[in-house]
Amino acid sequence: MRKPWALGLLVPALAVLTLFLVIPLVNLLVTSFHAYSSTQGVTSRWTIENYTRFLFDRFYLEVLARTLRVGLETTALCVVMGYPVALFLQQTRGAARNWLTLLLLSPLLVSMVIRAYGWVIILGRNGPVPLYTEGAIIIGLVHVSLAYMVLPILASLEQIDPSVLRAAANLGATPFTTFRRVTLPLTFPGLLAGCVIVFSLSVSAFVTPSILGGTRVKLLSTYIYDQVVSLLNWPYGSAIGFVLIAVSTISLLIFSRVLRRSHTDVVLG
Amino acid sequence: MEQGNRDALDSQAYLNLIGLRKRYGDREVVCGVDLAIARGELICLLGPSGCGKTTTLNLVAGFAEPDAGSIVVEGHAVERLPPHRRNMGMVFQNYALFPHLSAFENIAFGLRLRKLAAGEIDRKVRSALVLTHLEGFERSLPRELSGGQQQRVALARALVIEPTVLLLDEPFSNLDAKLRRAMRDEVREIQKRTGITTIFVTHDQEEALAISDRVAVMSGGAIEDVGTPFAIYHRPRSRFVASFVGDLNELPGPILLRPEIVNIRRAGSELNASRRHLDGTLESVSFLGARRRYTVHCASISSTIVAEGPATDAETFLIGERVIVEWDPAEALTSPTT
Repeated sequence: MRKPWALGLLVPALAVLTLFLVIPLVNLLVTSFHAYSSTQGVTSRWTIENYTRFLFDRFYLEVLARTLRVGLETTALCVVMGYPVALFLQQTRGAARNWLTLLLLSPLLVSMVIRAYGWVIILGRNGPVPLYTEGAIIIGLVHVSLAYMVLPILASLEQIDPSVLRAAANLGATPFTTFRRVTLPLTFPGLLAGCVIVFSLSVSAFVTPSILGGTRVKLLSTYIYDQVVSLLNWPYGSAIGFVLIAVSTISLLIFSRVLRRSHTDVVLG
Repeated sequence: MEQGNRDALDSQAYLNLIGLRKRYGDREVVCGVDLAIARGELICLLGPSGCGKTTTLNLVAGFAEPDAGSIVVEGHAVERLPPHRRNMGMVFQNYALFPHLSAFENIAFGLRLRKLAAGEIDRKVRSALVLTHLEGFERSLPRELSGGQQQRVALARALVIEPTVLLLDEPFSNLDAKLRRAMRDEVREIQKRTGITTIFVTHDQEEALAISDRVAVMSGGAIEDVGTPFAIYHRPRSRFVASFVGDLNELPGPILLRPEIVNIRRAGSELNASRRHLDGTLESVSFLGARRRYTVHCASISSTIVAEGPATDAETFLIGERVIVEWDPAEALTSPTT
């Protein structure tokens, strides 16, 4: 179906991504297999010790677990808070809807640093969710990523033919059953997209966790920063980065498999 | 049955619509609909778009609440019940199948909600599949089915819950002409076999006349006329009904003539004294397959008359030819009051 020249449409995006993402990543991957010496920096010796060091270090494994936990909890909170918002937006029409969408996107209009310092002031040290805790980081991350959850779900909801919902009611489904057996399964694609975006953004977030977690609760991204910028240990920093990419990719694959499985269960009743 | 009782309310009726009214904004879409429907009857709500027929159906199904009036099924008023508690089966214009469920699961949907045993569900769905000639398609998703097959799934899904009333909202409008006729005969056949009371909404008069026990012609939110297809066609209560359920010649008088009772003859032909006739000039001829349709301009009444005749080689007329149109005055529609 695709016209032969259609691949040409990818050229600008591919060029930018190759130049500024793929090449640096390959470069980092190579670096992560080099040894580091405190006197010479990156040496020419090949090694896998950067990876083994990470995988056998309880401390780093705990940080990795914490990072994934924060990502998961942020995603879960975004689902719980975002789905109702999407349902509400779907039932709103006209100017009100445009304003509400703008409101939803408004956190993205503010600089990440300013937004995080805003939360520093609001949360304080002795509030119900004090600063420098995982809770504080999660609040900050939910604030940034809610829109990324709501918009794909909303797009899925918009595609549902309203007469399908009427058909469910006509066949005897209460509004709740209609939601569970028709609306929810039909919005799985949007839900999955939202989860992938929010989880990826959360586990790789740097500014929000470093401001709201401070020195007490650090996530993996903060340690990568420490390794690369403070200790100049580029090989180890790169290795941690790749572990994070690998682990979050695998988590997403498992997650989408589970979601698809439960989707199929719904399909088969 | 040809000479059906056309008078409305009947306390013995299975389904009664009494004084239904519905307003959207400042427009009253349904203004006082009364209709009594017998058990097992197929009644058609026929009318142009915007006449309130679909809104009336939605009131019956429970998708909208009437501002006034009552809907009584077997003596129980249901107009305040939510749709999921009415046990009515509906077939939607676009079928409204669940896109994520197989044909089998679409049909089983209502049964699962009724918490039937698995074996019972299986048995009922299978017999619904047989009834609608869908054997072998149970695992197909709606998008893998043709329009006609989707239509059958929608019908099976509505019938399998054994609803009190079957509601059909322009169910054939998305099918091509040939399939539409086949499906409507099939629906009629299934309806007769299951004996389910049915309300059918359409704007297609041919469809309405072909399959209904009675037709209710709607206009401006109210029912203009109710009767058997024969009565509606031959003894319409109003000029609107006469023109909506068929083609119509309107002569001064007024005299209302269906084209099929008007014959065309060559100028100077022998004429039967009991028949009325007018001289005219043939303006156009259209070939309809089995019949030909002639448009004749009659100067004496300064208007055109449409006549019909068999499409044989013997009866060919030339455009511009002087002709005579003639009819039996006894066959004219008894002139309605409005």
